[in-house]
Amino acid sequence: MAKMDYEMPEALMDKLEELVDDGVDNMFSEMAGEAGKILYSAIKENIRKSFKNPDIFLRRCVITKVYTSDKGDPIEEAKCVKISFLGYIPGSPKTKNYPKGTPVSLAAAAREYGTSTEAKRPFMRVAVSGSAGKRAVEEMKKIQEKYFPED
Amino acid sequence: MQKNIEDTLSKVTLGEKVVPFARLHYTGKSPLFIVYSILTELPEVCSDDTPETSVVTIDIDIYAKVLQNLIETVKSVKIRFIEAGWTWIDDSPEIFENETGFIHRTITFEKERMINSWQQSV
Repeated sequence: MAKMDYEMPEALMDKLEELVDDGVDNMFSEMAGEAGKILYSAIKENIRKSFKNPDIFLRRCVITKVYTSDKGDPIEEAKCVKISFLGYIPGSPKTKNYPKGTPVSLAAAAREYGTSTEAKRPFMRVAVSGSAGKRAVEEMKKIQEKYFPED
Repeated sequence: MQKNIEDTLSKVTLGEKVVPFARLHYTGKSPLFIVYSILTELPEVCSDDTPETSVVTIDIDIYAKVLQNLIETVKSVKIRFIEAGWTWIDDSPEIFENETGFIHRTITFEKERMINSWQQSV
């Protein structure tokens, strides 16, 4: 009768356990932080090309610090950064729906996705899918290699 | 590529009516319409420094005055494009346009294709 022995990748499992003890969270935080910086910079560069008056959007486009996602987020306990638009467009009309004026995020979404009367000029999704996205992945790989050096 | 997208869109219906569509900009008067655009095309698999396949990303923008019509059309678009071999990537938030009364949602799809078809016009 044929016989088979299984061997577990014990060295790798030990290394993983060691990393968890040492805070593997640091690796994911570093990855999210570095990738976020690259994408944030690419998005800002694209804002200059997509908007006639980019200043307000450049000022209001912000990146958070690295944080851990909560229950209810798409992935629980993931290390994340968020790039978003804050505030309102100064001098924009105050309406019933928008008593403080037009939210910068709404105007940014209209430019990203277009409207029934205005063509889209995507600046966020193309940053992620383009060369900046690839650079972000490369940077994350480098960080992974720092924590898991190839023997 | 344009033919592939338009053949698929011509199967998107609400009830028995085909939803009108246009590339980049719709100039008709329908209270429900679709605008499609090619977002990006990026080389993917390369050999001998030559790209062999590329990934095309397209946006399908649905505009409707009635929310239920938007919901039904989103469903129909997803069914038809997935049937046609596209991969569903994501949906935008629903956006209400104050000035026109349209509700707008963008659905993004991707498809890989061989580079010889890349050389044809998109």
